[in-house]
Amino acid sequence: MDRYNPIAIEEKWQQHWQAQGLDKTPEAQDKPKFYALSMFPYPSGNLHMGHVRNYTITDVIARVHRMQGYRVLHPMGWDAFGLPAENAAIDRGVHPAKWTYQNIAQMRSELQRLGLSYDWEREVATCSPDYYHWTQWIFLEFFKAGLAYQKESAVNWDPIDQTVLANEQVDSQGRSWRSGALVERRLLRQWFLKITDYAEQLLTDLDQLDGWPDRVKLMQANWIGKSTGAQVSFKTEAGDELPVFTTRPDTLWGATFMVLSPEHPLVDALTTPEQAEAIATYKTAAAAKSEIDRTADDRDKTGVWTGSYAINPVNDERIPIWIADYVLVEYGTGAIMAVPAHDQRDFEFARTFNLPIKVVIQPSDRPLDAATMTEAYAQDGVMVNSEALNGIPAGKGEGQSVLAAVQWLEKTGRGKGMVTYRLRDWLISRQRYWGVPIPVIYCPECGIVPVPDADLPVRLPEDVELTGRGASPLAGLESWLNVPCPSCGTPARRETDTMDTFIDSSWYFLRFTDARNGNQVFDPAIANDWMPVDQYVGGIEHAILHLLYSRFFTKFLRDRGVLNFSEPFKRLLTQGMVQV
Amino acid sequence: MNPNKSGKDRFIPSHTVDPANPIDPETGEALTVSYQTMSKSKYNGVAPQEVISKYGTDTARMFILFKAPPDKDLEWDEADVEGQFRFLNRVWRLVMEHKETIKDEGDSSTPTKAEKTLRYAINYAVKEITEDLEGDYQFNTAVSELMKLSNALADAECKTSTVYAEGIEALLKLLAPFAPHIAEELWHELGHSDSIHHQAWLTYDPAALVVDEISLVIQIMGKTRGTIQVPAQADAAMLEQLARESEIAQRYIADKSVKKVIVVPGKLVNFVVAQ
Repeated sequence: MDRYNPIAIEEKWQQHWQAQGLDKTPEAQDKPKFYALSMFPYPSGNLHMGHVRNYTITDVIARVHRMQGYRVLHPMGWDAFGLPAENAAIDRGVHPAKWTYQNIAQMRSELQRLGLSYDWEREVATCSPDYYHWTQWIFLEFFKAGLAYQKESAVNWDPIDQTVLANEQVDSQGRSWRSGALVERRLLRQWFLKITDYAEQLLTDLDQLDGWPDRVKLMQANWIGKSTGAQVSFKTEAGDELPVFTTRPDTLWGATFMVLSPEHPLVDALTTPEQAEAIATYKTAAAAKSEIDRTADDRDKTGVWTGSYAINPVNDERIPIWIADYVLVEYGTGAIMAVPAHDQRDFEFARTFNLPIKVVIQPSDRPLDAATMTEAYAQDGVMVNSEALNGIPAGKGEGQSVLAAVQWLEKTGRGKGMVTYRLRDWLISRQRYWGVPIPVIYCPECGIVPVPDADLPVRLPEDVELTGRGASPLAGLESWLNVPCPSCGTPARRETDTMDTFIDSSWYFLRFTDARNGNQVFDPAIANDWMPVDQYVGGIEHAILHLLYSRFFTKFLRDRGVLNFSEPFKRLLTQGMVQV
Repeated sequence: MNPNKSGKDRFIPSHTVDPANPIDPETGEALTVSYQTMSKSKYNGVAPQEVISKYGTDTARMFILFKAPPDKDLEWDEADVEGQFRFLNRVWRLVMEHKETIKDEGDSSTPTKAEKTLRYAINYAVKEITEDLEGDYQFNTAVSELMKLSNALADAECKTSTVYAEGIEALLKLLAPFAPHIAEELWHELGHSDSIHHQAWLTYDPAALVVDEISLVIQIMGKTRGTIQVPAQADAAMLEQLARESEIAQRYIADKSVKKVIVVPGKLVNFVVAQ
């Protein structure tokens, strides 16, 4: 009797299956569809056990569904743009494309040795012009819809990699996810995608995702961070408006000072000559700190008085205007009203700088005295010292103070109810070479001109020198940079930023349904047939960004009339780690 | 996906460190030992290629699926990898022996007890594994069921029967998604020329899962105190457990220590308790 010799039989069958086309996706429509997908890998050149676990899980699911009578789509590809290839080029002088394709070849052969039942005819690599042609096309769809725009904004600057980082690429110590450098803040003109237009849908549609782990849905909901409250306009003594957003408009009568972000545009106008030096020093110091540093709860409160006052619109009281770095200009209006009696951070600030504290919520069990309290009171009670709200129970429910305050503000014209989100627009510009060129041209006559569809893809030039220092390598390549304007023919220049690689992975699952289409992003009929992905498998580290961005792209392409569904991933399995 | 690395801990190859006194061999700094995800930069990877060239892909797959539910962390354990390799070897021998067995002619109209027991085991495995592969994908319990079915086949006293032949093929079809190569090889060894991966998934026969019951006498100190209904296939250990948990026995032994239990399979269980 022959002994079990796995090596011999495994190679034999892998070759046989490939020759027979056993794992090809069926064309016939006579069976129900099943789309099984593992999150595609970055081609680092090193296949590890975490990959093997992820792909084995999905493979079993795909194989069982084939036997159960489904037509199964089970593809694989490569999330192939990104910094490591560029760093390898800088460190070892090998071109990013060469390094990437060598790694892909290596990892593909390792995957094939695992007996994974992929339809390799649908393989995609996001760094291939056949693929990024359509990434650029999707960008231009955003541009046409008014959802891709430029804005000068404070960005996280990695002084080692010389590039802008997304907030999520900055760790809890305020360091770059890759280089480990302390991140600085700088103002740059950047491209953004307006994901905030979809904030409410991205939040409410989480309820449809019965096949997702609750904790992933919770993480997404927290990331979107919806809060309900009111916008109220304070006025400076010079008459300028200082709008603030608050989730507790019922505590307006307890506002005893205001705090602006050091970057708030009115700070210089508000600063009196006596305070000018202190304000300037503070602003410089704040600019050098990371967002994480500035907003940590446990640090000592710092701030400087501008020398000016604002008028509280509910009671016309004069209250001092301060600046402090814990207020960020990107959140809300960049200004807050401070209610030290009922907000801990405001309380600490008031005690540090000896600012007045005024109680407007009295607890039922003991009297609260502003002079002796040792921490802010943020619980239930009854409204006091609040004119229109006195005697109303404090809280966010029906018949309680928050809703009563919104009603009163709207009736008296002093403010209005408002919903805000923590989610901010998606910064997609990267000053890097190994990414998708943003397909726009700057014309001195016409301004920003999108590259016409017929001229796509805007190819990455291959003859670049990568040094790892200074601006994007594309900015120094005159032959690539200079082009006539597509509209008027005037000499013009290409955009030199490339896209965040999260864009590449926000639609690859759609391309797999029609991966060889040379004429369009995919045939909508084919994508609508295979989608949504019935089972998606990947790591919990992608619980927020990749999944949120993919949901955003899906909803956007639905609104452009390309897709007929709203959610890309019906079921999600977040596999555990492999540890030794 | 681009992995989102955070933190900048440094890692030292474990073979350069004394586990009893973990210090950095270069700087003399004290080190902490922690479980980490595998990666090259942490010098801790079990390279997939090494495992595969030693045991084969099917064993690596079986280990990964068996070791932990898919959403839980998995700790690498060479002994458990070997365990799965041994299991696939058992399946291999089971099928090879079956191939050489001379089968019964025709089928008997009245199945024997051994055949009924095996039919139960086959249908139970189909039911459990199918359910494990729905919903939360409990691959680890599915692999356990494969092992149980393989044991039931090995222990079966009807190896020449049609039911046994069905059981061998069922085992291979249920194994196919997990260990696709060995399942295909053995499927062809049985004389099939098409791929096992083109076979239809099995459905179970609810009738085969209806269990025959017998009356079991419960005795305390040799005195009959009542009877309970138990599955006819229950073994001695199962009979003792069912008897012990029964209301009748509990009434007499609840607060006493049981000195001895006598099990007469198919008939009675007698508890000897301290007076």
